[in-house]
Amino acid sequence: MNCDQAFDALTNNSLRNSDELIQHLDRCSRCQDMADMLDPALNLFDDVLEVSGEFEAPAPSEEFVDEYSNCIDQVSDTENSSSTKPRTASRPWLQTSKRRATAQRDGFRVAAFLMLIGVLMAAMVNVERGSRYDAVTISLPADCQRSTATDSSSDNVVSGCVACHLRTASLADLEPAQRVHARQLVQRCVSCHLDLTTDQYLTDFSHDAQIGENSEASFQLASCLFGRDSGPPQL
Amino acid sequence: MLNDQEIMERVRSGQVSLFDELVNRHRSSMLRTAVSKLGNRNQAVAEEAVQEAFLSAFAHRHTYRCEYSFRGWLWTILLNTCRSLSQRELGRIDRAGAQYDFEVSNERCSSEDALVRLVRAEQAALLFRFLNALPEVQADALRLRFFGELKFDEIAQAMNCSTNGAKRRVRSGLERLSAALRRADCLSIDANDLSQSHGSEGDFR
Repeated sequence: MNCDQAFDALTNNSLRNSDELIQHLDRCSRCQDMADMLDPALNLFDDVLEVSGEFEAPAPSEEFVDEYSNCIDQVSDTENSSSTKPRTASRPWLQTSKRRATAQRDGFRVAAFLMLIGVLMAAMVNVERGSRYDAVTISLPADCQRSTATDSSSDNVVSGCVACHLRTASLADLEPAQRVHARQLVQRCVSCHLDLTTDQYLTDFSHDAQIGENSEASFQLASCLFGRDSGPPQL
Repeated sequence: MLNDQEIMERVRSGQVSLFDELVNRHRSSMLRTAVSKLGNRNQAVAEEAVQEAFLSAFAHRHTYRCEYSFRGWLWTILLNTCRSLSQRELGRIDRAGAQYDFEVSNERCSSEDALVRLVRAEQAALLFRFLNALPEVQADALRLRFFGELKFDEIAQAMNCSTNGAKRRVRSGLERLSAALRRADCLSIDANDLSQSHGSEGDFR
C-alpha cells in the first residue's frame, strides 16, 4: 500500500481498520501524522455512518411512484408504437411547409459544417495534447515527498520529482535524450501533482522567482516546458 | 448480477423497467446525501430531490455515456437538483438556525437505548451543521465520499474536477472539521468556527 492508497483506505469506512492500512501507518510517519490529524472528523463520520447503516429510506411517495410509472409506460408505449405507425402521425410539427423544410435543411447543413470544424479542431488539440502528455508513464514511489507536504511550494515539489526520478541534482547534467524525458516527466508531475493549468503554474513560478535565487532557474524551466519563452529551449 | 453501467445500457436500449433496480440500489445513499445537504428537518424536500434526480436521470438516460461511472453521473444530477430545489423551495426549507436539529424517534425503548440514540442523533446533527458551514465544494466532496460511498474518480466526475482535486477537497474538508472539533468540546462548539477558520481548498497545496 502506498500513501495514496492509504488515504483512500483512511476515508473508506470499511477499510479504515484494515490490517494493510495499519501496517502502512506503522511504517509511514507522514501518513500516521495525517491520520492523527484527521481522526476527530473521521470518528464523527464513523459514528454517524454507524447510525446511517441502520437507516432505511422510507417508501417512495405515491406521487413519485405514479410519475415514475407514467414515465416508464410512456416510453414503452412510444417504443411500441414507433415500430408500427409512421413517425409523423404522432408529431404534427414534422408536417411543415415546403419552404420551412428547405430552411431547416439549410440550417442542418450549416450546423453539420460547424460541427465538422469543431470535431477537426478538437482532434487537432487532442493530437497535440497526446504528444505532450502521454509519452511517459510514471509510477509513484511509496516515499514520494509530495504526498503530505502541505507547505511545499510548487518549486520544491518539481525539484523533488526531478531529483528523485532522474537521480540528478542539476538538470544541466542531463544528456539531450534525458532532457526530452525530463521535460515530459516534469509536465506530468506538474499537471498531475499540482493540478495546475499552465498559466497558474507560470504565475506560481514567477512569484517564487522573486523570492529565491534558485527559483529563477525553475521559472526558466517552466517557461521552457510550456513553450512560453521567446528563446530556444534550455532543457 | 449486472452492474450499473450494464443496466443503464439495457435501459437505453429499451428495457426501461430495469431502471427500478438502479432506484433500489441507490435510493438510500442518495437520500442520506440529500438529507445531509438540505437538513434533516427538511426530509420531505430531500426525498423530493432524490425523486426528481431519478426522474431526471431516466428522462435523460440517452445522454449517459457508459464508459463513465453511473454513480458519478447520478450524483451530479442529485447535487444539481438539491441546489436548484433549495433555491426554488427557499420558503419551504427551514433555515431558522435549527436547520440541523437532531430528531429522536418517539418509539419506546430502554433508558440506555434512549441515551445512545440521543447521543447519535446529536452527533448527526452536529456533523450536518458542520458540513453546512464548510465551503460547498468541500462539503459536497465529503458527502459524496462518506454518505454516497463514491470513489474519488466518481467524485471527480460528479464535481467536474480532477481526481487529485477531489482528494484535496475531501482532505481539506476533513482538516477543517477536525480542527474545529479540536478547538472546542464537541457539543459546545459553534459551527461558525468553521466558516471563520482561515484558508480554503486553494490554500491546501
